[in-house]
Amino acid sequence: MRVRPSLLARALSIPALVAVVAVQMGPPAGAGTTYQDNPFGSAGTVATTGSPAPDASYTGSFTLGSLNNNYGMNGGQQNGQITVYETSQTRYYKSPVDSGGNNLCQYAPSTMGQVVVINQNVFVAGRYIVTGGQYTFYANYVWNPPTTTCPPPPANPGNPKPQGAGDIYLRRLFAATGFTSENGTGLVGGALWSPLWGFTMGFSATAALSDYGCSASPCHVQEIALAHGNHLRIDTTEITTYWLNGQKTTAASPDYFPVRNATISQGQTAGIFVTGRYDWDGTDWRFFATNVFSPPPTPGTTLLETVQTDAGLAETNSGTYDPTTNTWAGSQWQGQTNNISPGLGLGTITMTLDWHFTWVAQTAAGTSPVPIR
Amino acid sequence: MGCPNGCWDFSGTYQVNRQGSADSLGGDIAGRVVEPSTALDAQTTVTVATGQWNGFSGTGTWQGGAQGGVPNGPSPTSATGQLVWNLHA
Repeated sequence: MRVRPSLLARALSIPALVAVVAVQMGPPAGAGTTYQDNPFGSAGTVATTGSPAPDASYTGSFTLGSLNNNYGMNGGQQNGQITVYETSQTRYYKSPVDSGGNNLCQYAPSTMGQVVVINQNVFVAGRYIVTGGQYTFYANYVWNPPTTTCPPPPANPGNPKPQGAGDIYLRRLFAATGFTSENGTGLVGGALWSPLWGFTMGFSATAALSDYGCSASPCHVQEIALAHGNHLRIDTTEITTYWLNGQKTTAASPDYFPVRNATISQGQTAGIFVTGRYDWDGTDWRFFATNVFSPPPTPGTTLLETVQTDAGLAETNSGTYDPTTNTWAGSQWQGQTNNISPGLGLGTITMTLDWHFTWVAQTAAGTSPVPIR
Repeated sequence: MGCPNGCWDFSGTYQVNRQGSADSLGGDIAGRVVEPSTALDAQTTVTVATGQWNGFSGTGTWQGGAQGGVPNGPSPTSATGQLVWNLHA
């Protein structure tokens, strides 16, 4: 159930999204033994729109002529054209062109009306079924102009490797500003995909709303993003707090999921600011959001105040020990802050911490992490 | 900080509240305690700020010491140090 990876990667510049394309289409009622279900892709010119759809579940249709750059197709053309049906899951991308009509290859999410235009060239990726010799094509993605007119994307740089057991059992911090590039993410390895697990965050070298949130160089988060086509897959959990237009929503709110979805969706156009922690899951880096803001707070380039305080804390609950990972999870800490000016003044401080002991052995070849269990 | 004799790495969340006011800072924290020196070094983010810092964001550090940890045994049980945040808007 996959569209040819090279075309999607070229269009979205995110190879990890190849697993995203599964728009599930069950066989039509009455499908016979000749039923086939295959991916396809084709560039061409939109000849007509509004062909009668098989049923009300389809949102539109168009005929595509002057076909080229086809793949996966073994028939189904009539007079050199195919009829393509659109659904609510069809996604549209539009790129601007220069004064000479050359594709600038800067695709952004768009609408059916802006992308499927008579006499304009598009590229369609989707699926087709064959039943009883009848071909029916469905669009998963439509790009205008065709992605085939873009140069091949540069190869992604290498993904940073974990530097020790701490990268596996615990998490680094991140605070990044970008935009929502997909309302979903994959599980380990990207083999499965769902909007329920999170979303995909993109960055742009030219957009103001792109900040990897690093003060040090090299920037670890940036290195990871660039290794994934300048995208990060963000996992969301029940502890993720959403800030939609400045309004806070937590899991305790009855409208948590609608606000969650609206916040992530709004990030496509208004941008998104995500903070949280990330670690190495054995195959790739995983980013877990604790706070998601859309729009992002005003870019924090102006240092307003430095706050400092002395603090003393004590553990009030050691948490749960996991002998498998040698990790103490969820330990509770409480303490007091002291009065330092300019500062926080007298106050309380609480922390919830996970702990892992890492022993780094000295070897003849140098230093290597050797976690003790 | 390197840890030739072992380290306690930690990560989590924190919340600081000024006494008698609505001022608070909260966010994520991650750092390391080096054994046997017990030196503590951590970084923080400010993701939730209220009161006079409402709407601010930022990053910070926590440097000090943590005691009570036993290598490959129980994790530290107390800590002292200085927290510093640089708040932006």
